[in-house]
Amino acid sequence: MSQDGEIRFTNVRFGEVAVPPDRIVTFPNGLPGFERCREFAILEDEESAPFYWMLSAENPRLAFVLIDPFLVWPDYTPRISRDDLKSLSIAKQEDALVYAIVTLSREVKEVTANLSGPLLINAANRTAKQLALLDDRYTTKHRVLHGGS
Amino acid sequence: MLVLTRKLGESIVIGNNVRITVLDLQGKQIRLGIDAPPEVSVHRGEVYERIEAENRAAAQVGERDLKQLSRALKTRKP
Repeated sequence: MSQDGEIRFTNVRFGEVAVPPDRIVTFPNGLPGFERCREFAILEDEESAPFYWMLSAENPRLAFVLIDPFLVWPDYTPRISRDDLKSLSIAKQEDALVYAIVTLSREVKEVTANLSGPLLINAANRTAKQLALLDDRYTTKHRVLHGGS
Repeated sequence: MLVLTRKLGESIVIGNNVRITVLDLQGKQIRLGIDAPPEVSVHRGEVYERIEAENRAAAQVGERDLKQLSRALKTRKP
């Protein structure tokens, strides 16, 4: 059903999709390596759950796979600085959403998530940034099917 | 690249609101103090590059679908 305010995205994988505004996030500085891509839609579908697709509004060929890191690594404790919270105007802890970007591989066992560069989203105003944690516990490649390592 | 020489305690200003100050020099190590508004991200170069490289790898989703992966994760042993 089409609603007012839906935003149309074109993506090579999904074709044209109508995205409700509450699924759009804005990265004012883009992502490292993709600094010009600022608007993304985060979508769930039954086949992909618990993974999400994050589709670029600016580049129909650009898509990332995300996961809620706490689902796979319940002990994950990214240290988010006050400046990071402030930069997204996050006032309440409940407004802070964290996702990890997943790197796919031909072998499912080799699929990894980036726990040292999580995405931080302010759920209240849908602005986001990718953090770069200075934390030896986390790297850019944690195997998703070996949760914890 | 713009190259500037600075002494201990001196600083450079970038734009209207970023100031980088040389705080300390010890052998090959230099301590820098950075004053920037919260919306300006400051990263160590190598950390930024690592995230950038991983993002580029992660963007190579190609034609892969998530069915198999999703199933594998849902049925994994705790």
